[in-house]
Amino acid sequence: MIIFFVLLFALMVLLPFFPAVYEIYKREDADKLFVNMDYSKDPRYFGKSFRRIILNALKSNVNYSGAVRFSEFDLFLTGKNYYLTNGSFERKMSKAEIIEVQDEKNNVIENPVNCVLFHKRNLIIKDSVKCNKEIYAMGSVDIGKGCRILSLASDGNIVVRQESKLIRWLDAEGNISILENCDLGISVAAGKKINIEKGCSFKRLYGSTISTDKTIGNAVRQKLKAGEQKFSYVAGNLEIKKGVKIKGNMKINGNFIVNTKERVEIYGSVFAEGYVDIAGNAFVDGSIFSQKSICLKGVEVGKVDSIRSIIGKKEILLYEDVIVHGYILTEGIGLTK
Amino acid sequence: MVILIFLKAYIVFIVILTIIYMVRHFVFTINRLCGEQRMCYQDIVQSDYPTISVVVPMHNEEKVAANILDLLIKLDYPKDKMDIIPINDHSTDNTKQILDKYAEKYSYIKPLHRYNMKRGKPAALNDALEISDKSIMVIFDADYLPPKGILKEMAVCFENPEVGAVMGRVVPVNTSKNILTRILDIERSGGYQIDQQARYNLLLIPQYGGTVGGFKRELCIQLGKFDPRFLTEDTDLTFRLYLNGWKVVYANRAECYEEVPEVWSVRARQMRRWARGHNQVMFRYLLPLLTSKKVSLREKIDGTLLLFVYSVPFFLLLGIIVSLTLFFLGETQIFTNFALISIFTAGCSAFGNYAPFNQIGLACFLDGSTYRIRLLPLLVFNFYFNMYCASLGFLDSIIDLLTGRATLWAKTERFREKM
Repeated sequence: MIIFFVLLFALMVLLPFFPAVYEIYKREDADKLFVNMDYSKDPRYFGKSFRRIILNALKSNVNYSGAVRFSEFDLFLTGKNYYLTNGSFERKMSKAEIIEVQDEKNNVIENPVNCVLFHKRNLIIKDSVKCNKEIYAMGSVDIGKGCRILSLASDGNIVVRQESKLIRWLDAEGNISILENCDLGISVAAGKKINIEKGCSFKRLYGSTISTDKTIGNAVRQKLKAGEQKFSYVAGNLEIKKGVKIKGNMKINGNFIVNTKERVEIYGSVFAEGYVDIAGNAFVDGSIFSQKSICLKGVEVGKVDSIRSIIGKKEILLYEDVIVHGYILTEGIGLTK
Repeated sequence: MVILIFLKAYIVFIVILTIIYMVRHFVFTINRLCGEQRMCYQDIVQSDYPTISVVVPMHNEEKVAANILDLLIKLDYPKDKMDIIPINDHSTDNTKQILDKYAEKYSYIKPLHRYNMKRGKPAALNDALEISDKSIMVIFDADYLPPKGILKEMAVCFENPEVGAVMGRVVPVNTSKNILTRILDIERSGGYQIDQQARYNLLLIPQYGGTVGGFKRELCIQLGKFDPRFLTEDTDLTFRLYLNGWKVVYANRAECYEEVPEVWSVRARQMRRWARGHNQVMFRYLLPLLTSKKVSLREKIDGTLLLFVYSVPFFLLLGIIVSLTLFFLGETQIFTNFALISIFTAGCSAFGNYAPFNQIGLACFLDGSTYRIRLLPLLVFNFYFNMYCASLGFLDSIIDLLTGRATLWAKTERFREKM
């Protein structure tokens, strides 16, 4: 009996270690944690990566005969002209996919897209079409009203018409114009400009100029008459009620509010623990970061040759007359009003 | 009789101490599990970045020197905004030759050869501070493997004018080697994924860890550079920054591989050195921290607990000895009133739950490596091992304090064979 209880006691003591012994023996989770050694921050990562994948997948379909010259994104650019055969091809992307290669003969999409589409020219997607697979167009793309797009990359310009819904990302080499009430999914990135109208929701926007304004430049025409100030650290809230020029980066532990029709210029970045609300006629040559929300109206952020970021954890609201040169990101909801 | 009362009071003290640290670990764990996560600044994209000197202190690092330099060359940071200062600190192997070979090829690699002067990381960093003309210093130990985009991730954090230092996350590269490396791997996960991130979330004191981290160069010079007598110049800088109104930011996504010790004896020496250095910092900064007007109350509480982290193992070890003594003296009847019974019950529960287990378990879950949670029970051995090594380090620091003896920097042995 004593031996039994001794063995039982030993078993109970050792029991918690059995899973550990099992894991040491089996080594089911013994690899190092993954760190992407080649990761380099790029707001256009989705589009660039997709172009690389689809072009690699179609590599075997390329014939070099001097017919068509494709974009610089083509990994197998050799300096010669070449063309891509039309048709359907089963290729390995992240998984096996049917890739449909088309040209100008099929430049209007009226029916749902259920396989990956590679289009060699400009493309028109008619109203209310559902594109359930990724699309790559080597020309410009016009997305009709009420469409549902999974992901789309274009080497030209993109127009997204009213009430369209983007599930993942949109990437254009040129300009992107987004009309009212669109849902912009995870990411919209452009090599040039993005213009967004009212009622759109977003998570990430990137472009050399992002504008909610139909008359770009109105917000920044007045001349500054006010004096110069420096706020490197503010313990509570900071509210600016008259024209001022601020130099240097700022950290505000509370809210940052600019509420004046006079010109306000900030030459530095703004970091706020609270919300940032800038309305009026302001120019910020720096990034704006808030652990809460950011609300902008009548503001230009950054310059064409000096990109900046607007990052608001919970919410970003962009009213009219907002121009941002660079990147906009929120973990919460982004809206144009 | 007086001794017995003292011993019993000590047991009560130990139980209270255990509860305090248990609460600390649970607060961190619950914050990461359910609390609001503060965003770090890594998502900021901008066209201009500050100038950076990447500093790599090396003492006989021929096994790893070329690996880290090859990776630093690949960094996507604008080369006109950075230089690399590998410090050859009294090396007697081929480190000097390796560094000179790279310097011949890349103009932005500027080796600093140190001989005939005080050896050690703090002294070496002080020399690097002098020769650099950049605004930010980013430090990597020689065995680290920095990924391509890590500098940009850290550099943007300095846009916030109150940030004095930035700390990235350390991930073991040789995890699969043996039981020790696997235990250290999950321990690191808990330390960074939960502990550091929770402290950043809760506006406490994330710790600058001396590697995969950076600081403002001019600021460090203004604060008196590094004290060569300290073995943990990182903890020293952390507290000096906070005492002067600056902050440390933890960037969880700025991840970098490191090599963890593969042999228990090497790990023991490392742990003992960390404990010794950390306690040196505690003796110097505990009082200034508690009386500082620039440090908030929550920072004071966290800073105090952080300062005591490497002395608690000694108190616990002493507690075990005292409890055994009381047991053999037949004096274990300490439960004399309801308050004490409550404290002891909570203390017992604290030890039974052992909050760091929860912390590390959650870290593994957040990292998506759920099967390694099976290794958690092994931490109990590590607990006693660390307790012993850290206690020796604590005693070392007491002797340092009493005698003012000089400290000698000891390099952690490398195990890398081939990349």
